[in-house]
Amino acid sequence: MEQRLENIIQGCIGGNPSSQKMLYNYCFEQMMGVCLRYHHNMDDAAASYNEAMYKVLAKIDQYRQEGEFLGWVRRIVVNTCLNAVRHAARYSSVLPPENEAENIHISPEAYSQLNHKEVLRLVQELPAASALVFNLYIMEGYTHEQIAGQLGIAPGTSKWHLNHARNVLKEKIKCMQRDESVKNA
Amino acid sequence: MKVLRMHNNADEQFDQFVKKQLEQTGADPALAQHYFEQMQLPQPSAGGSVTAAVKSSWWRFWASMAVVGIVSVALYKASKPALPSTAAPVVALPPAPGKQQADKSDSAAGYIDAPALPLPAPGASRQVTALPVIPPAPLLPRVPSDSPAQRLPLVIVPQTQATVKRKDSVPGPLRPATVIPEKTKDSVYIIWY
Repeated sequence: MEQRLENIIQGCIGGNPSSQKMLYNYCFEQMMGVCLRYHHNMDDAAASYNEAMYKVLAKIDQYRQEGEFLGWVRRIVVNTCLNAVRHAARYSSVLPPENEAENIHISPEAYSQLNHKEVLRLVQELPAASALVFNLYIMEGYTHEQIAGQLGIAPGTSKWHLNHARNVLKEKIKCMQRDESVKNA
Repeated sequence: MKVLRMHNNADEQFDQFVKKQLEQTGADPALAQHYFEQMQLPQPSAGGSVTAAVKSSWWRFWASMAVVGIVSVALYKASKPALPSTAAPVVALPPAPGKQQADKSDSAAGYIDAPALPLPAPGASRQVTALPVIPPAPLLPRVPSDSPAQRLPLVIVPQTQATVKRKDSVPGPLRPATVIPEKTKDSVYIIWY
């Protein structure tokens, strides 16, 4: 596979359209999964994916062959999604005080039955700002300081949005469970 | 403190679960064809790579900007008289009658034809021009009183190379960027040495 990917990359550097299509398809499944976490629907996610792949194809000769190719693509995809959604996110400068005691508690048993499609849907339903911070922190491994730098907010605001995202997710999971138990009863 | 640590552990456990689930998310590969058709691929130049195409178009952009700049400067210079160098005379003297080429002796009695001087545009604060020189003449025509030449051009001449004479003033050397005031209504004589 590595040799095949190498051939595809070389074809893309040479501007070969069939290689470009192969690379597009090669990255599609995984990178669209990344895009879907930042967007609420498939078309918006695809728009970001296409924009990111345009950048990838235009700059592919800058890929240094250091590290995993999909890791390089992923950084471009994440930055493209970030640019696409950051303007939609609203960060209030006046946030309710963070209070650990107000965190919603939920047992692992409560959420362990969820599948990845349900989790994705719940994340997509989060408020834009909280979803963005949640994705960057949980999925991309950014620190609050890095998120603050990327989004132009205070680290404390980033922490608040992360906590808020967790609470909203847990609350929704609890609601799902209640609905399920009512249905079963 | 103990409660807080429990919360943190629970949060980490929850985060790990969500992360694990989200990492499994992906799109149906069958949709790739549909969305690929909506994508505009970067076009490489003939025989070149995508980057070469980008660089080439970038180079063409700057080349065209340079051409526009050069043409603009040329047009601007064509519309503006060149500033005289302090190392050279402001004007090239016409040869005296019977001579093939003008020399320094011709300038001794050269005169500037004041009415022939290009006039400054209304409102212009300064005008620099190459001044025409006429053969020795005892007197130059006066600027008609109703002419806009009442606003005489400002003249820049190299130091020690010219003296200005006005009918009502005493000759003296001009320094570079010497200004002949607008209020001067009479003819201006510049005699070259």
